[in-house]
Formats: sequence, C-alpha cells, structure tokens
Amino acid sequence: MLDNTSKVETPEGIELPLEVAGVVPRALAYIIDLLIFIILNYVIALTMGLLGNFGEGLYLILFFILFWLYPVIFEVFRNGQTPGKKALGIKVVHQDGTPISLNASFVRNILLSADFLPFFYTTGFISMMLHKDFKRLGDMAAGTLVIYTEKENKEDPIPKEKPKAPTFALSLEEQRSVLSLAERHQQLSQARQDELSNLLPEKLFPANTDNHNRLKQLHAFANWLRGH
Amino acid sequence: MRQQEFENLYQNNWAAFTEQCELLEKRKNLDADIDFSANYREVCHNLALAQQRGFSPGLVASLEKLSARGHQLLYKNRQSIFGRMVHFISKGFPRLVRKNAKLFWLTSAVCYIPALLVFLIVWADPDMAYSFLGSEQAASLESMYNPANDRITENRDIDSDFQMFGFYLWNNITVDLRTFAGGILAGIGSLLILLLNAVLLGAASGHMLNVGYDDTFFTFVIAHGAPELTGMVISAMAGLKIGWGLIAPGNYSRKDALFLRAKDGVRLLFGAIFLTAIAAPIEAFWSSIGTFDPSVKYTVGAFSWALVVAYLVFAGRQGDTDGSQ
Repeated sequence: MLDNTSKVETPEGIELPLEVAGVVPRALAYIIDLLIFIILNYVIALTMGLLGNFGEGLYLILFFILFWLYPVIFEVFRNGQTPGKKALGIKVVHQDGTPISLNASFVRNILLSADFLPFFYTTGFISMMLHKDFKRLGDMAAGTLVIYTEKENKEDPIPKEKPKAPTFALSLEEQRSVLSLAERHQQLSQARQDELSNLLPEKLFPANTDNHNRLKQLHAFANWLRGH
Repeated sequence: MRQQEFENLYQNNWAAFTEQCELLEKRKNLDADIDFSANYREVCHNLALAQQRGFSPGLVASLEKLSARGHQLLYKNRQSIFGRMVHFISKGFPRLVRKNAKLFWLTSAVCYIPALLVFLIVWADPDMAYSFLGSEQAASLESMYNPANDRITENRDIDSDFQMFGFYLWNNITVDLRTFAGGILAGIGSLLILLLNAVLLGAASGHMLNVGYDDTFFTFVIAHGAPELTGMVISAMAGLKIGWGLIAPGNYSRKDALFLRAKDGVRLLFGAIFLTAIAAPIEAFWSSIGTFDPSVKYTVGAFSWALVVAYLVFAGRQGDTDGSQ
C-alpha cells in the first residue's frame, strides 16, 4: 500500500503503525513556533531594557535559553510537542515510537542550524524530500520521527442486516475488505461504495444484483463475519 | 472465535486498560495491585490475534491505538533528568572523554599546534598580526589590554560584570553548539570553526606579547581559558565524532552510523557545554579583576588548569564500571 505510515515492531512482537508527517505541516508548525519566539523575545527585550547593564546580561542569558532550548524544553516535557506542533496535531517521537528523550531532542534541535544551510532550510528540505520517513539531518542523527498524534477514530457500527454466509470461503484479505467497506459506510459516498464493492470477487454476489442490493448483501456478509 | 465473541470477552479489559493509561498520562499512580505491563502485553496479544484472524479494520485500529498508548507509557524514561545530569557530570563525561582519548588528542592537536605556529609566526614577524587579526581587531585588542586603560586597574561594577557574564555564556556556548552542528558536514564545519578560533588565539597572544601588554592579557585569559578551551576542543571532538561516522561508517550504513555516533557525540557536547558554562562566570567575575598581583592570577590560573586536567583524568575512575550512562 502506498501511504505515509512507518511500521514499528515492539518487543512484544506487534507492529504499531506511525503516521509520519510531511514537509508542509512541519513547516507550518515551525512558522508558528518562530512567531511565538519573536513575540517572547520582544517582550523579554522590552522588560530587560529597563534594567540597564544587569538587564542586558540577563537578556542574553534568557535569549540563549529561548533560542536554543525553546523547542527542547517543549519536546521533552510536553510530550514531543512544541506549541506549533500541537496546533498542527503532530509530535516528535523516537523512531521506535517511544517518547523523545532529552539527548535526542537536543541533537535534532542543535542540528537545525545544519539543516538551515546554505539558506532557509534548503538542506533540511532536500533531506526530507529524499527520505521515506521525511527525516531531516537532525532527525537522522537523533533517530526521531515526526508523526501525527492519534486521531479519535470514530467507529461506525456495521449496519444491521440479517447475517448471511458467503457461498465460498473468503481469504483474509477479502474478509478485511468486506468489513472495512461496511465499517466506512457513513464516511464514503454511495457512488464510491458501489465502485469499491465492484472490486470484490464477482462470484460473491448472486448474478445481476443491482448496486443497492449489492451493498445490502455486503453488509449481511459483514454481519456474518463479525459473528452476530 | 468470531469477532463479536472476542470483543465481548475482552472489552472490559480494554476499558480498564484505557483508564489506567489515562491515569498514567496525568502522571498519577496506579493502585499497587495493578500490573500495568502484564495488562499491556495482553492488549498486544489481543491486537496480534485480531490482525491474524482478519477482524475488522476498525477493531484493529482501536487496538493499535491502545497498544501505542501503552507502549509510550511503558517505555518512558522514568529517571529524573536532574539525577542523570549529576551522574553524567561527576562520572559519565570524564569516562566518555577517556574512552575517546585518541580523538581527544587529535582534536587538541588540531587546536593547539596551529595556535602555537601562528603565535610563533606573529612573534617572529609582528606585522603578521595584522594579516591574521585585521587592523580593526588588533586595535580593539590593544585598547582592551592596554595597562594604562582604567578598565584594567579599576574594578568594573557588578552590573557590567553581569552583562559580560550573559554575553560570554551566550556567545561561547553558541560557538560550541555551532561547532558540533558543523560536524554533520563530514566533520569539516567543526574543523574549520576550531581552526579559526585557534588561529585567533595564537595571533592575539603573539600580538599582545609584541606590544608589551602580555601581563594584562595573560592574567586575564589564563584562569577561564582552562575550561573554555577544553570545552571548545571537546565540542569540536563531538562534531568530528558524527562527521567520522559519515566518512568511515564501518559495518553500518551511513544513516545508522550517524545515529549511533551522535549518541556519544551529544553526550560529549553536553560535557563541553558544562565546561564552557563554568568558564563564563570565571571570565566575568574573576578574570576581569585587575587589582591582584599578576603572580596571584597566574597561580589561580595554574590551579584552574590542574583542576580541569585532574577532572578529566581521575573523575569516575572508581565506582560502577559501566561507562555507558
């Protein structure tokens, strides 16, 4: 299947799918963070400006923390999300799906300055376009992934229909297709459902069934497979 | 077992596990009799069964989501960051430098040999100072370390000391971080930044000696120079570590080598930042005092160098033998 999930095998022997985020949401998240940085910096500069030489020293220290540690602090203590990432519904994790550590967050954010080269994140952009998991150099060195946070998956119950066994044994793949199509009956348009049901083996349905009855049949099979 | 029976049998467990996850995500403790990891393994097992038996994608997705939540909670690092930092500074970092002794000496050579050469060149031919430093920088150094300058003989007020402290901290640690980041360009960036700083150091020292301001200059730099120069060398070392991973990845792919070397690289960088951060208050609050006799300042300077060397050579030799933390 052509999609943007990256499979992670856990020590328990299962595979967790992580949905990797691409260039656009990450760039937008970065722009939001940049704006927050500029505003915070402006506020600190104004306040510290009132305190003379001492204030200037304090400003440089705070600017240092803000400039280099703003993303690190958020990523480590706020579950992999800077405010920008949170707004876009993405977060950083280790490539094995575990929460990001201080070291990894530090590496990826320090190397942001290498990804910047030669101007405005050209290196990072090219690296992300070439990598199957959209990693920039910092992500490769730190071993991190930027993924979408899990969305609430709304499960529509399979429409009730009198369960009916198919006339022949379905393969695992076919079972899944039938169930998936039945579960998504509220998310897909009628026409699309008809189109998809046409991809199922012809002999599944009695000859000359019209589209409406076809879907009813399909739901009956789904009910049977699910075991009502 | 059909999907319906499967769901009926386990959904209470899943609901209970979801509740436990919610509690842990809010950083609350679970009841003592709840075995979270056992419950997690059971959810994983359920997921594997659901996938294998071709149950509906909706069910599989919800179990995947539940396992992912458990996975995040179970494999979280629970040690406090502060405790790990103390351990790293007191033991881990000096051990790591000793483990990479060859690289340390190589990087030191890249820093100190060119610095010494440039120093000798400028010493032998004073005009060369202007080629290395440029006339503006040479003039600014001269005005800074001129013994007749009242900044040298009078103490600065505490406000401007603090201002300089902020400046040194920001400037020097930023140099460390950039030096490290330059390592990803096959190490070239780190080498260039290190060389540039070494040449400046050598040229400035030579020039100060030539114009006769050597006492004010060397008494100023000697004490904080120990942690600062060592920090600079080690941050370049950290950068070379990842750069070398790209040049000679050994048995790994370049991508994996980069990832593996960066683990030690960033820990070296943390140590370098620690040293640089120590140097900043010394530079701002001690080096700037001009009223002490030079012999006092040289003694403190020598002590400072001895301390840095002793720290890197001896700290963490005893105790647990595991140098990985």
